[in-house]
Amino acid sequence: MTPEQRQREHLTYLITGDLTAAADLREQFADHSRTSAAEHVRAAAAVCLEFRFGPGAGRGAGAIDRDELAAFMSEIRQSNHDIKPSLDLLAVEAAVRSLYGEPHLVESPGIDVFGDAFASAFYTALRHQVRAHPWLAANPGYVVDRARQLMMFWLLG
Amino acid sequence: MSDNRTGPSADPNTVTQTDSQPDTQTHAQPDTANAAPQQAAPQQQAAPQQTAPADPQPTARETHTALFRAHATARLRGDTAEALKLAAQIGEAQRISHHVFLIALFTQAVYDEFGDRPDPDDLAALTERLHRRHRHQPQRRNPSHSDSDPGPALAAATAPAPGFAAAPITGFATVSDTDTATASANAPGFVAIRAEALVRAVCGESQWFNEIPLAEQPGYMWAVMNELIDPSITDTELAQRFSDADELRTEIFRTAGEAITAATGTEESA
Repeated sequence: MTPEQRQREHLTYLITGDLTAAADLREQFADHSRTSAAEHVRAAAAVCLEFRFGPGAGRGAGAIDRDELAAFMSEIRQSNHDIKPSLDLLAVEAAVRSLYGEPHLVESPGIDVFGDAFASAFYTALRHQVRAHPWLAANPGYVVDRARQLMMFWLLG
Repeated sequence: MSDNRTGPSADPNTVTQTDSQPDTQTHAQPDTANAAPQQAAPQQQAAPQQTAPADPQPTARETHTALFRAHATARLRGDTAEALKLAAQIGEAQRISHHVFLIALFTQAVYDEFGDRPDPDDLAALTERLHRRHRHQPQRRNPSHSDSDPGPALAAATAPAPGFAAAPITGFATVSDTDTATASANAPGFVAIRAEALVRAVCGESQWFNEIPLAEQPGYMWAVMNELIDPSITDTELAQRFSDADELRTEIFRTAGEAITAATGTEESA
Protein backbone atom coordinates (compact mmCIF):
# COMPACT_ATOMS: atom_id res chain seq x y z
CA MET A 1 0.00 0.00 0.00
CA THR A 2 1.45 3.37 -0.97
CA PRO A 3 1.45 6.28 1.51
CA GLU A 4 -1.28 7.95 -0.52
CA GLN A 5 -3.44 4.82 -0.45
CA ARG A 6 -2.89 4.50 3.28
CA GLN A 7 -3.98 8.10 3.83
CA ARG A 8 -7.05 7.63 1.66
CA GLU A 9 -7.98 4.49 3.53
CA HIS A 10 -7.45 6.13 6.91
CA LEU A 11 -9.61 9.09 5.99
CA THR A 12 -12.27 6.77 4.60
CA TYR A 13 -12.41 4.94 7.91
CA LEU A 14 -12.86 8.24 9.74
CA ILE A 15 -15.62 9.39 7.40
CA THR A 16 -17.51 6.13 7.67
CA GLY A 17 -17.04 6.03 11.43
CA ASP A 18 -14.83 2.95 11.64
CA LEU A 19 -12.59 4.41 14.33
CA THR A 20 -11.03 1.10 15.34
CA ALA A 21 -9.79 0.44 11.83
CA ALA A 22 -8.52 4.01 11.60
CA ALA A 23 -6.64 3.64 14.88
CA ASP A 24 -5.12 0.34 13.76
CA LEU A 25 -3.95 1.96 10.56
CA ARG A 26 -2.46 4.93 12.40
CA GLU A 27 -0.27 2.49 14.31
CA GLN A 28 1.64 2.08 11.07
CA PHE A 29 2.08 5.81 10.53
CA ALA A 30 5.39 7.57 10.90
CA ASP A 31 5.31 11.06 12.39
CA HIS A 32 5.12 12.79 9.03
CA SER A 33 2.24 10.54 8.06
CA ARG A 34 0.37 11.56 11.20
CA THR A 35 0.85 15.18 10.22
CA SER A 36 -0.44 14.42 6.77
CA ALA A 37 -3.39 12.54 8.26
CA ALA A 38 -4.28 15.61 10.34
CA GLU A 39 -4.20 17.77 7.25
CA HIS A 40 -6.41 15.26 5.45
CA VAL A 41 -8.90 15.58 8.30
CA ARG A 42 -8.81 19.39 8.09
CA ALA A 43 -9.42 19.28 4.36
CA ALA A 44 -12.21 16.72 4.68
CA ALA A 45 -13.82 18.84 7.38
CA ALA A 46 -13.74 21.80 5.01
CA VAL A 47 -15.43 19.75 2.30
CA CYS A 48 -18.15 18.59 4.67
CA LEU A 49 -18.68 21.99 6.28
CA GLU A 50 -19.48 23.50 2.90
CA PHE A 51 -22.74 21.58 3.10
CA ARG A 52 -23.62 23.70 6.11
CA PHE A 53 -21.89 27.03 5.68
CA GLY A 54 -21.53 27.39 1.95
CA PRO A 55 -18.74 26.99 -0.61
CA GLY A 56 -15.17 28.18 -0.36
CA ALA A 57 -14.23 26.66 2.99
CA GLY A 58 -10.45 26.83 3.32
CA ARG A 59 -10.08 28.45 -0.09
CA GLY A 60 -11.12 32.05 0.22
CA ALA A 61 -14.61 31.95 1.69
CA GLY A 62 -15.64 35.11 3.53
CA ALA A 63 -16.94 35.46 7.05
CA ILE A 64 -19.18 32.73 8.33
CA ASP A 65 -22.89 33.24 9.01
CA ARG A 66 -22.85 33.86 12.76
CA ASP A 67 -26.37 32.67 13.42
CA GLU A 68 -25.73 29.46 11.58
CA LEU A 69 -22.47 29.01 13.46
CA ALA A 70 -24.23 29.54 16.78
CA ALA A 71 -26.78 26.90 15.82
CA PHE A 72 -24.02 24.53 14.73
CA MET A 73 -22.13 25.01 17.98
CA SER A 74 -25.28 24.44 19.97
CA GLU A 75 -25.77 21.14 18.18
CA ILE A 76 -22.16 20.17 18.84
CA ARG A 77 -22.57 21.04 22.50
CA GLN A 78 -25.74 18.99 22.78
CA SER A 79 -24.38 15.93 21.03
CA ASN A 80 -21.12 15.88 23.01
CA HIS A 81 -22.24 16.91 26.47
CA ASP A 82 -21.51 13.50 27.97
CA ILE A 83 -18.14 13.00 26.29
CA LYS A 84 -15.19 12.58 28.67
CA PRO A 85 -12.80 14.29 28.63
CA SER A 86 -15.03 17.13 27.67
CA LEU A 87 -14.75 18.54 24.21
CA ASP A 88 -12.85 21.77 23.64
CA LEU A 89 -15.75 23.66 22.13
CA LEU A 90 -13.72 26.79 21.55
CA ALA A 91 -11.25 24.75 19.51
CA VAL A 92 -14.15 23.45 17.42
CA GLU A 93 -15.44 26.97 16.81
CA ALA A 94 -11.92 28.16 15.99
CA ALA A 95 -11.49 25.26 13.57
CA VAL A 96 -14.72 26.05 11.73
CA ARG A 97 -14.13 29.79 11.59
CA SER A 98 -10.55 29.24 10.46
CA LEU A 99 -11.95 27.84 7.22
CA TYR A 100 -14.13 30.91 6.73
CA GLY A 101 -11.87 33.92 6.69
CA GLU A 102 -10.16 33.62 10.08
CA PRO A 103 -7.20 31.29 9.53
CA HIS A 104 -5.28 32.91 12.40
CA LEU A 105 -7.59 31.19 14.87
CA VAL A 106 -5.64 27.96 14.47
CA GLU A 107 -2.22 29.56 14.42
CA SER A 108 -1.72 29.81 18.15
CA PRO A 109 1.55 28.55 19.57
CA GLY A 110 1.17 25.42 21.60
CA ILE A 111 -1.80 24.14 19.65
CA ASP A 112 -1.12 24.36 15.98
CA VAL A 113 -3.32 23.08 13.25
CA PHE A 114 -1.62 19.71 13.26
CA GLY A 115 -1.68 19.33 17.01
CA ASP A 116 -4.00 16.94 18.74
CA ALA A 117 -6.38 19.66 19.97
CA PHE A 118 -7.22 21.05 16.57
CA ALA A 119 -7.05 17.72 14.75
CA SER A 120 -9.68 16.57 17.21
CA ALA A 121 -11.67 19.76 16.69
CA PHE A 122 -11.68 19.38 12.91
CA TYR A 123 -12.68 15.76 13.25
CA THR A 124 -15.53 16.71 15.58
CA ALA A 125 -16.86 19.09 12.94
CA LEU A 126 -16.39 16.46 10.24
CA ARG A 127 -18.20 13.80 12.24
CA HIS A 128 -21.09 16.13 13.00
CA GLN A 129 -21.53 16.89 9.32
CA VAL A 130 -21.33 13.24 8.32
CA ARG A 131 -24.05 12.40 10.81
CA ALA A 132 -26.20 15.25 9.55
CA HIS A 133 -25.67 14.23 5.91
CA PRO A 134 -25.59 10.41 5.63
CA TRP A 135 -24.89 10.77 1.94
CA LEU A 136 -21.36 11.83 2.86
CA ALA A 137 -20.71 8.64 4.80
CA ALA A 138 -22.18 6.64 1.93
CA ASN A 139 -19.85 8.32 -0.54
CA PRO A 140 -16.52 8.68 1.24
CA GLY A 141 -14.64 8.57 -2.05
CA TYR A 142 -16.20 11.89 -3.02
CA VAL A 143 -15.10 13.49 0.23
CA VAL A 144 -11.59 12.04 0.01
CA ASP A 145 -11.12 13.17 -3.60
CA ARG A 146 -12.28 16.70 -2.86
CA ALA A 147 -10.21 16.84 0.29
CA ARG A 148 -7.08 15.93 -1.61
CA GLN A 149 -7.91 18.55 -4.26
CA LEU A 150 -8.16 21.12 -1.50
CA MET A 151 -4.84 20.01 -0.04
CA MET A 152 -3.30 20.46 -3.48
CA PHE A 153 -4.74 23.97 -3.55
CA TRP A 154 -3.19 24.71 -0.16
CA LEU A 155 0.12 23.38 -1.39
CA LEU A 156 0.24 25.10 -4.75
CA GLY A 157 -2.13 28.00 -4.32
CA MET B 1 2.96 38.11 40.13
CA SER B 2 1.06 35.44 41.89
CA ASP B 3 3.25 34.60 44.79
CA ASN B 4 0.55 34.70 47.32
CA ARG B 5 2.81 33.78 50.19
CA THR B 6 5.03 36.78 49.88
CA GLY B 7 5.16 38.67 53.12
CA PRO B 8 3.67 42.09 53.69
CA SER B 9 6.34 44.24 52.18
CA ALA B 10 4.47 46.88 50.27
CA ASP B 11 4.57 50.53 51.05
CA PRO B 12 1.01 51.33 52.03
CA ASN B 13 1.21 54.70 50.37
CA THR B 14 2.11 53.01 47.15
CA VAL B 15 -0.77 50.65 47.46
CA THR B 16 -3.28 53.38 48.03
CA GLN B 17 -1.95 56.22 46.01
CA THR B 18 -4.35 55.67 43.17
CA ASP B 19 -7.32 54.80 45.23
CA SER B 20 -10.18 57.20 45.19
CA GLN B 21 -11.29 56.43 48.70
CA PRO B 22 -10.24 59.33 50.91
CA ASP B 23 -9.48 57.41 54.08
CA THR B 24 -7.06 54.86 52.71
CA GLN B 25 -4.00 57.07 52.67
CA THR B 26 -3.50 56.80 56.37
CA HIS B 27 -3.79 53.18 57.22
CA ALA B 28 -3.92 50.77 54.31
CA GLN B 29 -2.01 47.62 55.15
CA PRO B 30 -3.29 45.16 52.59
CA ASP B 31 -1.79 42.10 54.17
CA THR B 32 -3.33 42.84 57.51
CA ALA B 33 -6.69 42.75 55.90
CA ASN B 34 -7.50 39.36 57.27
CA ALA B 35 -7.11 40.63 60.78
CA ALA B 36 -10.05 42.28 62.47
CA PRO B 37 -10.32 45.88 61.30
CA GLN B 38 -9.79 47.24 64.81
CA GLN B 39 -6.39 45.56 64.92
CA ALA B 40 -5.15 47.07 61.74
CA ALA B 41 -4.00 50.45 63.03
CA PRO B 42 -4.06 50.51 66.80
CA GLN B 43 -2.17 53.77 67.02
CA GLN B 44 -5.20 55.60 65.79
CA GLN B 45 -7.34 54.21 68.58
CA ALA B 46 -5.18 56.01 71.12
CA ALA B 47 -6.47 59.40 70.05
CA PRO B 48 -8.01 61.44 72.88
CA GLN B 49 -11.65 60.69 73.38
CA GLN B 50 -12.64 64.34 73.51
CA THR B 51 -11.42 65.12 70.02
CA ALA B 52 -13.41 64.44 66.93
CA PRO B 53 -13.68 60.72 66.34
CA ALA B 54 -11.08 59.30 64.05
CA ASP B 55 -12.10 58.21 60.63
CA PRO B 56 -13.58 54.76 60.78
CA GLN B 57 -11.18 52.00 60.02
CA PRO B 58 -11.53 50.59 56.55
CA THR B 59 -13.29 47.33 56.29
CA ALA B 60 -11.39 44.38 54.92
CA ARG B 61 -13.37 44.78 51.71
CA GLU B 62 -12.31 48.41 51.40
CA THR B 63 -8.69 47.52 52.01
CA HIS B 64 -8.81 44.76 49.45
CA THR B 65 -10.50 47.04 46.98
CA ALA B 66 -7.76 49.62 47.45
CA LEU B 67 -5.17 46.97 46.68
CA PHE B 68 -7.09 45.65 43.69
CA ARG B 69 -7.48 49.15 42.31
CA ALA B 70 -3.82 49.99 42.78
CA HIS B 71 -2.86 46.78 41.03
CA ALA B 72 -5.31 47.44 38.21
CA THR B 73 -3.96 50.95 37.83
CA ALA B 74 -0.44 49.61 37.43
CA ARG B 75 -1.54 47.00 34.93
CA LEU B 76 -3.63 49.35 32.85
CA ARG B 77 -0.83 51.92 32.75
CA GLY B 78 1.82 49.40 31.86
CA ASP B 79 3.81 49.63 35.10
CA THR B 80 5.03 46.06 35.17
CA ALA B 81 7.20 46.28 38.27
CA GLU B 82 4.48 47.87 40.34
CA ALA B 83 1.88 45.42 39.05
CA LEU B 84 4.07 42.47 40.00
CA LYS B 85 4.71 43.88 43.45
CA LEU B 86 1.05 44.51 44.14
CA ALA B 87 -0.06 41.20 42.65
CA ALA B 88 2.20 39.46 45.13
CA GLN B 89 0.16 40.99 47.94
CA ILE B 90 -3.11 39.56 46.73
CA GLY B 91 -3.37 36.53 48.93
CA GLU B 92 -5.09 33.24 48.44
CA ALA B 93 -7.94 34.39 50.68
CA GLN B 94 -8.64 37.27 48.31
CA ARG B 95 -8.39 35.22 45.14
CA ILE B 96 -12.09 34.87 44.46
CA SER B 97 -12.81 38.42 45.54
CA HIS B 98 -10.13 39.65 43.16
CA HIS B 99 -11.56 37.53 40.39
CA VAL B 100 -14.97 39.09 40.87
CA PHE B 101 -13.36 42.54 40.90
CA LEU B 102 -11.62 41.69 37.65
CA ILE B 103 -14.79 40.41 36.02
CA ALA B 104 -16.58 43.62 36.97
CA LEU B 105 -13.77 45.83 35.66
CA PHE B 106 -13.51 43.71 32.53
CA THR B 107 -17.24 43.77 31.95
CA GLN B 108 -17.32 47.53 32.32
CA ALA B 109 -14.52 47.89 29.78
CA VAL B 110 -16.32 45.59 27.35
CA TYR B 111 -19.63 47.42 27.72
CA ASP B 112 -17.91 50.76 27.24
CA GLU B 113 -16.37 49.58 24.00
CA PHE B 114 -18.96 47.29 22.51
CA GLY B 115 -22.16 47.61 24.49
CA ASP B 116 -23.75 44.53 25.94
CA ARG B 117 -24.46 42.99 22.54
CA PRO B 118 -21.21 43.21 20.59
CA ASP B 119 -21.20 43.02 16.82
CA PRO B 120 -19.58 39.66 15.96
CA ASP B 121 -17.49 41.33 13.28
CA ASP B 122 -16.14 43.81 15.83
CA LEU B 123 -15.29 40.92 18.13
CA ALA B 124 -13.61 39.04 15.29
CA ALA B 125 -11.49 42.12 14.60
CA LEU B 126 -10.57 42.36 18.28
CA THR B 127 -9.66 38.68 18.31
CA GLU B 128 -7.39 39.08 15.32
CA ARG B 129 -5.68 42.11 16.89
CA LEU B 130 -5.12 40.17 20.09
CA HIS B 131 -3.75 37.25 18.12
CA ARG B 132 -1.30 39.46 16.22
CA ARG B 133 -0.15 41.13 19.42
CA HIS B 134 0.27 38.02 21.55
CA ARG B 135 0.94 35.27 19.01
CA HIS B 136 4.57 34.85 20.00
CA GLN B 137 3.95 34.37 23.65
CA PRO B 138 5.44 31.13 24.80
CA GLN B 139 3.78 28.12 26.19
CA ARG B 140 3.83 27.95 29.96
CA ARG B 141 6.58 25.70 31.20
CA ASN B 142 6.34 25.82 34.98
CA PRO B 143 2.69 25.61 35.87
CA SER B 144 3.32 24.17 39.31
CA HIS B 145 5.38 27.06 40.67
CA SER B 146 2.82 28.26 43.10
CA ASP B 147 5.56 29.18 45.55
CA SER B 148 7.72 31.13 43.19
CA ASP B 149 7.41 33.94 40.78
CA PRO B 150 6.59 32.33 37.44
CA GLY B 151 7.67 35.42 35.58
CA PRO B 152 11.41 34.87 35.90
CA ALA B 153 10.91 31.13 35.60
CA LEU B 154 9.17 31.59 32.30
CA ALA B 155 11.68 34.12 31.13
CA ALA B 156 14.48 31.67 31.81
CA ALA B 157 12.70 28.73 30.28
CA THR B 158 11.67 30.34 27.06
CA ALA B 159 13.21 32.43 24.38
CA PRO B 160 11.12 35.57 24.06
CA ALA B 161 10.14 36.57 20.58
CA PRO B 162 11.25 39.99 19.36
CA GLY B 163 9.26 42.65 21.09
CA PHE B 164 8.08 40.38 23.84
CA ALA B 165 10.50 41.54 26.49
CA ALA B 166 10.05 45.14 25.48
CA ALA B 167 6.37 45.17 26.33
CA PRO B 168 5.85 42.58 29.04
CA ILE B 169 2.92 44.34 30.64
CA THR B 170 0.68 43.34 27.79
CA GLY B 171 2.10 39.87 28.02
CA PHE B 172 -0.12 37.00 28.90
CA ALA B 173 2.07 34.34 30.37
CA THR B 174 4.48 36.53 32.25
CA VAL B 175 2.05 38.79 34.05
CA SER B 176 -1.02 36.71 34.48
CA ASP B 177 -0.96 37.25 38.23
CA THR B 178 -3.17 34.53 39.48
CA ASP B 179 -2.60 31.68 37.15
CA THR B 180 0.18 29.59 38.54
CA ALA B 181 -1.27 26.91 40.69
CA THR B 182 -3.76 25.18 38.49
CA ALA B 183 -2.69 25.83 34.95
CA SER B 184 -2.48 22.73 32.86
CA ALA B 185 0.95 21.42 32.08
CA ASN B 186 -0.12 21.44 28.47
CA ALA B 187 -1.61 24.91 28.58
CA PRO B 188 -1.02 26.58 25.27
CA GLY B 189 0.26 30.05 24.72
CA PHE B 190 -2.13 32.86 23.99
CA VAL B 191 -5.24 31.51 22.26
CA ALA B 192 -7.07 34.59 21.07
CA ILE B 193 -10.45 32.95 20.75
CA ARG B 194 -10.43 32.37 24.50
CA ALA B 195 -10.16 36.12 25.04
CA GLU B 196 -13.07 36.60 22.66
CA ALA B 197 -15.02 33.93 24.49
CA LEU B 198 -14.66 35.81 27.78
CA VAL B 199 -16.00 38.95 26.12
CA ARG B 200 -18.97 36.97 24.89
CA ALA B 201 -19.31 35.34 28.30
CA VAL B 202 -20.05 38.70 29.95
CA CYS B 203 -22.43 39.59 27.14
CA GLY B 204 -24.95 36.84 27.61
CA GLU B 205 -23.03 33.72 26.56
CA SER B 206 -21.97 32.77 30.06
CA GLN B 207 -21.43 29.14 29.07
CA TRP B 208 -18.03 30.16 27.72
CA PHE B 209 -16.78 30.76 31.26
CA ASN B 210 -16.82 26.99 31.63
CA GLU B 211 -14.59 26.48 28.61
CA ILE B 212 -11.63 28.44 29.95
CA PRO B 213 -9.73 27.32 33.05
CA LEU B 214 -10.30 29.76 35.90
CA ALA B 215 -6.57 30.22 36.30
CA GLU B 216 -6.25 31.43 32.70
CA GLN B 217 -9.13 33.89 32.79
CA PRO B 218 -7.30 36.83 34.43
CA GLY B 219 -4.59 36.79 31.78
CA TYR B 220 -7.12 36.95 28.98
CA MET B 221 -9.16 39.65 30.69
CA TRP B 222 -6.08 41.82 31.17
CA ALA B 223 -5.10 41.29 27.54
CA VAL B 224 -8.52 42.55 26.42
CA MET B 225 -8.49 45.50 28.82
CA ASN B 226 -4.99 46.47 27.73
CA GLU B 227 -6.25 46.41 24.16
CA LEU B 228 -9.28 48.55 24.90
CA ILE B 229 -7.95 51.03 27.46
CA ASP B 230 -5.29 53.58 26.63
CA PRO B 231 -2.37 53.29 29.07
CA SER B 232 -2.32 57.08 29.42
CA ILE B 233 -5.70 56.92 31.14
CA THR B 234 -6.06 59.74 33.69
CA ASP B 235 -6.74 59.40 37.40
CA THR B 236 -10.22 60.81 36.87
CA GLU B 237 -11.02 58.32 34.13
CA LEU B 238 -9.68 55.49 36.22
CA ALA B 239 -11.72 56.57 39.23
CA GLN B 240 -14.84 56.56 37.06
CA ARG B 241 -14.06 53.10 35.72
CA PHE B 242 -13.49 51.77 39.22
CA SER B 243 -16.67 53.36 40.46
CA ASP B 244 -18.69 51.92 37.59
CA ALA B 245 -17.08 48.52 38.08
CA ASP B 246 -17.82 48.64 41.79
CA GLU B 247 -21.49 49.24 41.09
CA LEU B 248 -21.42 46.30 38.75
CA ARG B 249 -19.64 44.17 41.34
CA THR B 250 -22.28 45.04 43.92
CA GLU B 251 -24.93 44.07 41.41
CA ILE B 252 -23.16 40.77 40.76
CA PHE B 253 -23.14 39.95 44.47
CA ARG B 254 -26.76 41.06 44.88
CA THR B 255 -27.89 38.92 41.96
CA ALA B 256 -25.87 35.96 43.16
CA GLY B 257 -27.28 36.38 46.67
CA GLU B 258 -30.81 36.43 45.36
CA ALA B 259 -30.13 33.36 43.25
CA ILE B 260 -28.71 31.50 46.24
CA THR B 261 -31.63 32.56 48.40
CA ALA B 262 -34.07 31.48 45.75
CA ALA B 263 -32.32 28.15 45.32
CA THR B 264 -32.17 27.60 49.07
CA GLY B 265 -35.84 28.45 49.40
CA THR B 266 -36.68 26.03 46.67
CA GLU B 267 -34.71 23.27 48.38
CA GLU B 268 -36.27 23.96 51.75
CA SER B 269 -39.76 23.96 50.37
CA ALA B 270 -39.17 20.81 48.39
